[in-house]
Amino acid sequence: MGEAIHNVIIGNGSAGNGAAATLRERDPDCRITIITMGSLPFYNRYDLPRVFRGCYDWREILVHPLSYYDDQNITLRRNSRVTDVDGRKRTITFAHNETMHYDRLLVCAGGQGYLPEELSDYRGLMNGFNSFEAAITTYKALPAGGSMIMLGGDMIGLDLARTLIDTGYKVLLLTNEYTFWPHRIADDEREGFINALKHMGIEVIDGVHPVAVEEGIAGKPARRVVLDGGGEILGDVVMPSYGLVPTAEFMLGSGVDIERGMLVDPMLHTTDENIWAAGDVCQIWSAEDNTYRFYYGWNNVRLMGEVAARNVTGANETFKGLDDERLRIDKNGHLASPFWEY
Amino acid sequence: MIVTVTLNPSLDLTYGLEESALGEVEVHRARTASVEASGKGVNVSLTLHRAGTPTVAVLLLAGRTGVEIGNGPGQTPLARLRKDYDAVLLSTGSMAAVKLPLKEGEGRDDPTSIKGVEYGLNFLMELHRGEKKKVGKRVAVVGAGFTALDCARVAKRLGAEEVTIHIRTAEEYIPVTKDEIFEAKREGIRIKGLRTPVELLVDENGALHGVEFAQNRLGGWRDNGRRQAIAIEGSEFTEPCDTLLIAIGQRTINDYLDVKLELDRWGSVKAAEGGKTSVDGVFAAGDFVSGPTTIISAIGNGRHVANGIDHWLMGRQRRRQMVRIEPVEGPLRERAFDFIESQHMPTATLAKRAGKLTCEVETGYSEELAGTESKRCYLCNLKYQIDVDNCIYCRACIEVAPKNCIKLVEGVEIREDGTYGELQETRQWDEVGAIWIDNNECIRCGACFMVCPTKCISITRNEFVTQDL
Repeated sequence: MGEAIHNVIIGNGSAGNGAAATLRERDPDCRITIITMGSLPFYNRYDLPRVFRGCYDWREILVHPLSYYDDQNITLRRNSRVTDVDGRKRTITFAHNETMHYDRLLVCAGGQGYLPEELSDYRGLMNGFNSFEAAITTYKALPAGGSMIMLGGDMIGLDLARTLIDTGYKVLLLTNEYTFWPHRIADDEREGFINALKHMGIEVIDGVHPVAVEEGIAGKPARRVVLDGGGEILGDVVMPSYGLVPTAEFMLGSGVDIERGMLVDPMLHTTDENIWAAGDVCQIWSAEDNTYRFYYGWNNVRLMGEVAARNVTGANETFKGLDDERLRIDKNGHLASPFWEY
Repeated sequence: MIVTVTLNPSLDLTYGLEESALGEVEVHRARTASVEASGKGVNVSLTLHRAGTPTVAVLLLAGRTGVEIGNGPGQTPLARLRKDYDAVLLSTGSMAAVKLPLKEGEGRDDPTSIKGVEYGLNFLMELHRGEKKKVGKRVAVVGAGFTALDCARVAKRLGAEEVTIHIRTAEEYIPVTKDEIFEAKREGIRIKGLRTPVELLVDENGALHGVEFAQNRLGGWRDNGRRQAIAIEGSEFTEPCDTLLIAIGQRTINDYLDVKLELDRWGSVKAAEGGKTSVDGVFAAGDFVSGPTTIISAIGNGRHVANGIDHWLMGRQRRRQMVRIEPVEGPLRERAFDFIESQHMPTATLAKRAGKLTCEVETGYSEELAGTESKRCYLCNLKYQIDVDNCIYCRACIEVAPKNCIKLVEGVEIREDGTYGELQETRQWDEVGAIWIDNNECIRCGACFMVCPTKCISITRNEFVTQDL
């Protein structure tokens, strides 16, 4: 009997875990390894705002019980950063110099919060929210009833803003073209959606641009956002919320085509015959739009992982995203986004 | 009257600095520059003249300056230069912009006939010559090289509110450094990939108001190592803009030549080894032959061609390149150096750069940063070798090697034509024919050298040197 096929999944989010479950279902004997940079098993990132409602224990947001990986015979490699992939040799190299062989690779590395390059010098003075650890750090930095200055306001940030307002915090939102990302908002719709944000209790500051973030002076809020017109806004925490960019740097030089994300066909196959990609890391060819495009949100991403896994195991299935990706205002005057549904 | 004779005259190029004292690792901008004739005799005459003593400086000079080469009135044709000199070197660079190929519409023959459209090279050259340049609020740059990035960054400094660089492939495949891209983005410039301009959109006043692009997909690899982009039929879309700077490449100009030289498929003069063109006594070098490259490549090629001309003139090779190999006593690098991250070049703040065309962006490494960065050098001119005759195959070097740099090999591939190819690795103990250090993988940490019990590992410094024959 030959050696079991080694399927390696880079990424431990909903795409990666959806793929792993599908792979196990379709091939009970294959070897599955999930590699993640994070230290926790798979948890629901959409549940992260719950830290502001008293959920401080990571076990409460795990999607599966801790025994899941053993039960499914899936190896989970945590705290492991991939630095290189060699598609020709079918090897992965880690930051600690270990090399791992794969037979088939599924890249589900997701995306990371985009910070415009002009603000990159101030990264250390801003808080993130894309991991449990980052969420806890932000929670601790924000005093009870304190204020958060949100820059941009993508749908991930606005989801957090809903919880912050509900739990007694103040949100000051500096809007720009990334507000409501990844929704594309027509000019004539924008005012209505901005009013909905105000209706939510968010203090919307339109038409100004941050040029610097500085520490606040003693006795004042901890952060100061300097504006291009010379004014400033004070807050306890500053959070960039400019959408996601694919985490695909480690695939440069692998032989796979990359533009902003990894370029895949509608079957989520890259230009390397042994590599597939799913989730926020990939740009999928859309014959309908005649362009490569991203698909976001829990449901899209989970489905991508499953489709990719089925194709890895011999199917020829095409990924089709959500039918309706529009941002809406519900009967209560609240924003409603399909990207918030999970 | 005092006559001075200078056999080796020179030109003194003097730069005046604003700063009163020179710091060790600071950037000092030149505020003034002057060129003066010099050499001992010239200097004596100059001093005498300033003291009011009549003097004449006589000096030996060769060559011509201020001469325009061409076929027009008052110009000197190349044929005349060939007659007057033994050898002529053409090194006039790639100073013409490559024309933007458009499928249809206005400006197809000459895009610059549309108000708001300029070739990037001309835009930068005119600005450099001191002309006042203006751009609109929304600037589009097409092109993927350093000229395109320069155009975008200059446009931003000239007051453009929105500057976008449109490229045919993707950021990964464009021939500029990552630092350059990062700094451009920091200044607020955007890069959008997978698109080819197909038509310029012009308003009723003849001014540009947008560019129509076709969506691309990535194709194969070109011979020059660049990525192909293939436009997708029916995928056209529009991007609004009021200024378009075209920087899709540069080409050589050779229509000033009255002597017919053989050209390559791109219209550049063909030059063989040593810079020889198809016409005896006419040589060509640098970007004039290769198309636009870097200044480093152009200088390197210039030196190579200078040797070629010397060889041709003298009828024999008078200098040749050799490899000098000298022993090195011990490792010059530490294992820990491998973990030093690239040191980011300190740069001027965005506020300092804004609107200023002369602000130096890269302010230079401090002594400490420079020292740290230099430790990252892999010292690739050091070669580690194992003397197989003295090796006892204890594997100690393999055990300590931090990379897959020491390999057990069973043989060498012998190609069909009889030449040697790749070494064939083995993991089977009974197939090992030799142990070998792969210098492409070696990080010169010296761990193998230190651990070897039989001292059979040697280090040599291998350097190219030029030797007079």
